[in-house]
Amino acid sequence: MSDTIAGDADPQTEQAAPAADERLAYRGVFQRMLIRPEIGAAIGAIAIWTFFWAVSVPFGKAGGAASILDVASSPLGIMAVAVAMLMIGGEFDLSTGAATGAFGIIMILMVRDVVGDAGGWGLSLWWALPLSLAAAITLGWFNGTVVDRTGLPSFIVTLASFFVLKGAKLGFSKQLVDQIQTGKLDDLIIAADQERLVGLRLIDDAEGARQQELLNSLGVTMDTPVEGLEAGNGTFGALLDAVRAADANDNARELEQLAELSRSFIDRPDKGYSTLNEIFAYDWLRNEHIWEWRDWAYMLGAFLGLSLLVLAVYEMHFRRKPGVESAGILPLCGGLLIAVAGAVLTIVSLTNRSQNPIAAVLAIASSLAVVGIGLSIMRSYRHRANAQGVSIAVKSLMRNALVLPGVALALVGMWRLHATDSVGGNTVGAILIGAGMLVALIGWGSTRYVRRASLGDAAQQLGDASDDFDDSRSGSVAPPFVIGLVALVVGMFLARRMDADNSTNLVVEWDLSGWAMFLIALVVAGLAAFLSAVRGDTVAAELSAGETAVSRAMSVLIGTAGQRMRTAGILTFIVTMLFLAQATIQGARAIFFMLLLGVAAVSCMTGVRRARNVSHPLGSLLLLIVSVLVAGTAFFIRAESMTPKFRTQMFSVLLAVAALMAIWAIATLIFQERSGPDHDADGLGRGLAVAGGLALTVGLFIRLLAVTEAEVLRGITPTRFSVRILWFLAFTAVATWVLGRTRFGSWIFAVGGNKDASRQVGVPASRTKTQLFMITAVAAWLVGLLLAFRLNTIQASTGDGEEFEYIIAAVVGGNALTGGRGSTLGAAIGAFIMAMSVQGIPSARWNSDWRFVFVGVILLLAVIANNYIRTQAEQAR
Amino acid sequence: MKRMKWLSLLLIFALFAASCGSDDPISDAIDSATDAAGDAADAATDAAEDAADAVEDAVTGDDDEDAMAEEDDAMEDEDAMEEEEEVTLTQGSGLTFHMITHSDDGPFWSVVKRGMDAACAAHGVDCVWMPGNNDPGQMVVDIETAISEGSAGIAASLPSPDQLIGPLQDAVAAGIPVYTLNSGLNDYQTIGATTHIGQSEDVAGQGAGLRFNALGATTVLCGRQEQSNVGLTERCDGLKETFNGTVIDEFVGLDADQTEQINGIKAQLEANPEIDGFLGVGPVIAMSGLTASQDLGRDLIVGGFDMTPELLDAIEAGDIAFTVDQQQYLQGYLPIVLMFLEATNANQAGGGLPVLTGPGFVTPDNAAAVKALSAEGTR
Repeated sequence: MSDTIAGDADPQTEQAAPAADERLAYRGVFQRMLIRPEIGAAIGAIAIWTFFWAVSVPFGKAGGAASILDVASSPLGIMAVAVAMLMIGGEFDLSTGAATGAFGIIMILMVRDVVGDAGGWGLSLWWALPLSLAAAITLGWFNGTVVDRTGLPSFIVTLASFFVLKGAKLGFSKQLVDQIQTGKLDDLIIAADQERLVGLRLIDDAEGARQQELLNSLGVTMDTPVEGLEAGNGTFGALLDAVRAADANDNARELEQLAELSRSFIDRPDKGYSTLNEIFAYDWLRNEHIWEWRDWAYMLGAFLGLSLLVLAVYEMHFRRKPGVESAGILPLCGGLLIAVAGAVLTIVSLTNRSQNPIAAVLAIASSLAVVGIGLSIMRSYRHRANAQGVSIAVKSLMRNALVLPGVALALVGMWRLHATDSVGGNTVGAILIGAGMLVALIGWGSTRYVRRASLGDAAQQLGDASDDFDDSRSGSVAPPFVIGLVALVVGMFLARRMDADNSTNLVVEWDLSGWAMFLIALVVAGLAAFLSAVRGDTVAAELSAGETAVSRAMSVLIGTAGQRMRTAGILTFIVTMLFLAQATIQGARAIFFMLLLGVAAVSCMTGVRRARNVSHPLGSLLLLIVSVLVAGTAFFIRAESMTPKFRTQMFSVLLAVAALMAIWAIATLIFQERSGPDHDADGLGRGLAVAGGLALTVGLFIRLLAVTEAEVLRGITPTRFSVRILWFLAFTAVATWVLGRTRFGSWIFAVGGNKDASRQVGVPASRTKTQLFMITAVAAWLVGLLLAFRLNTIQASTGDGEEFEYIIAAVVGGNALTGGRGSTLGAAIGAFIMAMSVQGIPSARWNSDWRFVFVGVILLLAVIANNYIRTQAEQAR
Repeated sequence: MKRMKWLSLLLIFALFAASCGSDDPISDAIDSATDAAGDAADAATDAAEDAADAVEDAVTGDDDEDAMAEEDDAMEDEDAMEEEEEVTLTQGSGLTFHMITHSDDGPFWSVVKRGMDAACAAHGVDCVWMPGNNDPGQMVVDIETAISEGSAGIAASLPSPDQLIGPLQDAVAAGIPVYTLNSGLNDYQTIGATTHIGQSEDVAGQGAGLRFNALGATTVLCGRQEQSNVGLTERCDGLKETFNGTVIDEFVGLDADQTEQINGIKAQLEANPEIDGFLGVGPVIAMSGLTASQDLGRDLIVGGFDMTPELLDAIEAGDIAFTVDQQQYLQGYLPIVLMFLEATNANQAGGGLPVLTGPGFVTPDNAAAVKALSAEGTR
C-alpha cells in the first residue's frame, strides 16, 4: 500500500544528526520505550482510567472492571488485534464486522435441527466448529486472493465482501428461520434434556407399567419422576402416543421397537454443547469465591511486580560491574522469592487463627519461585555457566547485607497496611514499605553496578552547575519547574475553594449565557494556541525570517507553528465548549484538579529532564524534590477529599509513585549509567520486566477474581468474569509473539512497509498478505463463536458497521494506516480505551449521546500524541 | 494432477455431506408406527375436535384470540360454504380491494398479509396484495394500476409521503375509498383517506408507561438501540408522558454489538442504583436489559417492544413483564373490513381520527397463547 520502507527515518531526524552514524547511536532504555508504537495508547489508557475513576462512583470497582474487560475482550479486542496485524501488513478488511455475525449464524444454522421449511443440518457442534472454521478460512483466502490478483485496494474488495455478507446474513436468516435472527443454540441442550425427561417420564408413567417392565428388561435405567413437563410436544409426544396405541393394540413387536427408540432418546447426546459452553462461555462468579488472604496476595503481587520492574530498569540503565552476568541473577531471584514466600507464610500463620487457605498462598508463592528457578536454570544452561552462575548468586547474596533487611521492612509495612483500615495505619505501613523497597533496591544495585566517582564529586558537580546557571542550557530548567509548582498550588487552591458536594451544572451555577461560554472557550483556546506556539521559539524564528509585517504574520499563520496553533486552538475550543456544557461543579473541581496535577507533573518532569542534561546530580536532586511534592499532594488529597477511594487508593498509589521516584533519584545519584549497548543486560532486563508485569497482573487478577468475607457481609454487587477475557488475552499474547518473534512476523512488517521491496529480498509477499486475511477471518470466526455461546441467538445485523470500531481501536493503539508500523499490544490497549468510554460515560452520569464525540476526540488525541512522542524520542538520540 | 486430487477430495466431501442430510431414522420409525396405530383413530378424533370447537365457540363467544386461532379452520371451510351461500353474499362478491404496502415479505409483513387474506376470505371479496419491497416507484405504479382496474378500495402504507400522496389523491378523486395503514399517520388527512390504521409510537410508549405504573416501578431506564431514530425517541417520550416516576432516557449501544449494549445497560444500572424498571424499545435490547439485570443480580421490571421467539419465551418464563405489540395482523385485517363496510354499507369508521392497532401487550398471562399464534403466523 505504501511506498515508504518500514523503519525509514523521516527526513527531520536525519537532518538533526548529520554526522553521526545512526546505526551506532545508542538509545537508552527510556528512549527505546518511548518509540514503541503503543506507548501513546498506554499513557492515554492510564490517563483515561484515572480520569473516569476520579469522576465516577462505580468505575473503579470490580463490577466496572468486569464490564470494561468484557467489552474490551470479545468482539472488540480480538478483532482489533487481528485488524492491527492486517494493518501492519498494509491492508484493510471492512468485512470483519459483518463476518463476526456471519460465522456465528453459520454455526448455529449448521447445528440446529429445525430451521424453518428448509430443514437444518442438525450437525454436532464438533462438526459445526471445524466446518465454520473452514468457511472462515475460505472467506479470508477469497479476500486475500482477490486483493492480490486484481491489485485493487483492499478497501474496495472487502467493502464488497462486507455487503455480500451483510445481505447474506439477512437473506438466509429470513429464508431459513423466517426471523431476523437465528434460533437458539441452547435448544440443543434443552431439546436433549427434554427428550431425556420425556423418555424418563414415559418409563415412569404409572399407566405404562408394562412398558416400564419392558424397558427395564432392555436395561434402560429409571431416574426420579419428572414434574411439570407436558408430554405430547414434538416428536417425543408422537412417540408417547404411539407407545400407548401399540400397548392398547397389544402389539409386542412394535412396543419393543419403540422401547428401543425411547432408550435412544434417553441416551441422546447434546452434541457437545455442554463441553463447549464451558470453554467458550464460562463465567467466573466473583462473589462465590471467598478468600480472606486475597489482599495479601494482591499486595504481594503488586510490590513484587513493581520491584521487578525497577530491577529491570536498573539492569537496562546502569553500567554493570565487571564480572557480573545475567546467569547468576535468576537463581538469586528464585531464592528471594522462596524467602519472601517463607516470610509471608510465617506472618500469615502468626496472625491467622482461622483455617484459611494458607495452601493457596503457598501455591502461588512456590509456583512463582518454581517459575523463577526454571527460568534461571534454562538461562544458566544456555550460558553454559550453571555452577558458576549459582556460586556468583550465592556470593552476591552473602555480600549484600542490605537486601534482606529491606525486604523484611517492606513486609512489615505491608502487614501494617493490611492490619488496619485506619488512615494512620496506612501511612505507617506505606512509609515502612517505601523505606524497605528503598533499602533493598539500593542494596541490590550496589552489588551489581558501577558507582559514580563519589558523592563528594557529585556535590562538586552540582556546585559547578549552579555556578553557570545562566548558561543557556541550564536557563531552561527553571521555567518548567516553576510552571509545575504554580500549577500544583493553583490546583490545590481550586480544590479547596470549590464545593465538592455541589452537583449543579456549571452553566447554571455560574449563570453563563451562550455567548459567555463561547467567549470563555475562545479565550482558553487562544491561550492554548499561544502556549503551543511559544514552545521552542518557533514563532521568533519564523518572524525573523519574514520581511514585512504582513509576510511575517502570514509566515506565522502558514508555518508549522501556525499549524500547531490552529490545531491546539480548535481542539481546546471544542473540548472547552463540551466541558462547559456538561460539567457540574463537582465534576469541574475534579477535572481542574486532575488537569492541573497533570500539567504540574509534565512540567516538573520536563524540568528534571533538562536538569539531567546540565548535570546529573542536579537532575537527581530535582527528582527527589518532585517525589517530596508528590508525597505532599498525596497527603493533601487525603486531607481534602470526601470519598474514601481518594483517601485510601489514590493516596497509596501516589505514595508508591513518590517512593519509586525517590528510589530512582537516589539510584541515579549513586550509580553510573550505561552509554553503550549490553545485550546480556538488556535480555535480563526484559525478562525481569516481563516477570514484573506478570506478577502485577496476577496480583490484580487475584484482587478482581475473589472477594473477602467482609465484602460479602457488606453485600457487594455480584460480578462475573467471562472466559472470553482469557481468550482475548491468549489471542493477544499469541499475536504479539508471532509479530515480534517469528519470521512470519517480520514478513508482515516487511510487506506492510513496501511490498515490492520485500518481495525483492525474498519475502513471499502475496502469500503473507493472503495469510493475514485468513488470520483476520479466523479471528472473526472465534468472535462469532464466542458471541453465539454468549447470546445464544445471533441477529442478522450483528457486527455490521463494527469494523470501524476495530480500526479505531487499532489506530488508537499506534498502528499506522499506511502499514509497516504498529503493535498488537497497542491495539489491545486501544480496545480497552474504547471499552472504558462505554463504561465510563454512563458511570460519570454523562449523557451517552456524547459517547462518539469522546471516541472521536480520543482517536485524534491518541494519534497526535503518538506521533509527537515518537518524533521527540527519535530526535533526542 | 494436483488439481484432480483437490477435485476428488471435494467430491468426496460433497457425497459425505449429502449422506449426512438424509432423514432422521427415528422420526421415520415413529411415523410408520403412528400411521399403523393412529389411522383408524384419526377420523374419530377429528369429529370430536370439531364438536369441542363448536362448544368452545358457544361458551367463549367473542374472545379475540380463540376466534383468531380458529380463523384457519374457518378458512378451510370457506370454499365449501361459498358455493352454498353464494346467493346470500351477492352484496360483497365482485368487490376487489388493493393493498399496496412497502412490504419486504419479511416476518412483519407476512403477518399483515395473513390478516388481509383472512379478512378477504371471511367477507368473500377479492384482494390483491401488492408488495412494494421498499421501492416507492413500484408503489406509485401499483396505485395507478389499482385505479385503472377500478378498485373498490385501496389500502396503502406511506413510507415516503412525498411521492405517494399525489397518486393516492388521484384515487380519492376517482371516487375510490382510500385507507392508509402502518405508516401515514400524519398524512392520511391530506390525502383525503377515510382513516389510518396503525400504531402511533407516542401512544405505544404511553401504554408502556401505564404498565410500569401498574407494576409499581419508580425509576425506569428507557434504553434506545439507536442514537437518532425518531420512532424510538417517540416511544421513550410517550413513556415519559404517562409514567409517574422518573424516566432516564439513554442510548445504550447498537443492536449490532450486543456485548457493548449489555455492558452499556449495566453501566447505567450501576450509575443509577434507583433504577427498578427497564424499557427496551426493541426486542433485542429488551433481552439485553434482562441479561444485564440478571448479571448484576438486580430485580428489574423489564418491558420490551415487538416480538422475537426468544422474547416470548422470556415473557412466558416471567423474566420479562411485557412487550408492546403493534398487532400488525389488524393492519391487514381491519382495512379490508372497513373498506367492505364502506363499499357495502356506506360506513365510515374512525370519525376522522386514526384507528390504532396497538399497543397490545404480551404478558406472562397470554404469552403462551401468543406464542402459539405467532408460530401460526398471525401475531
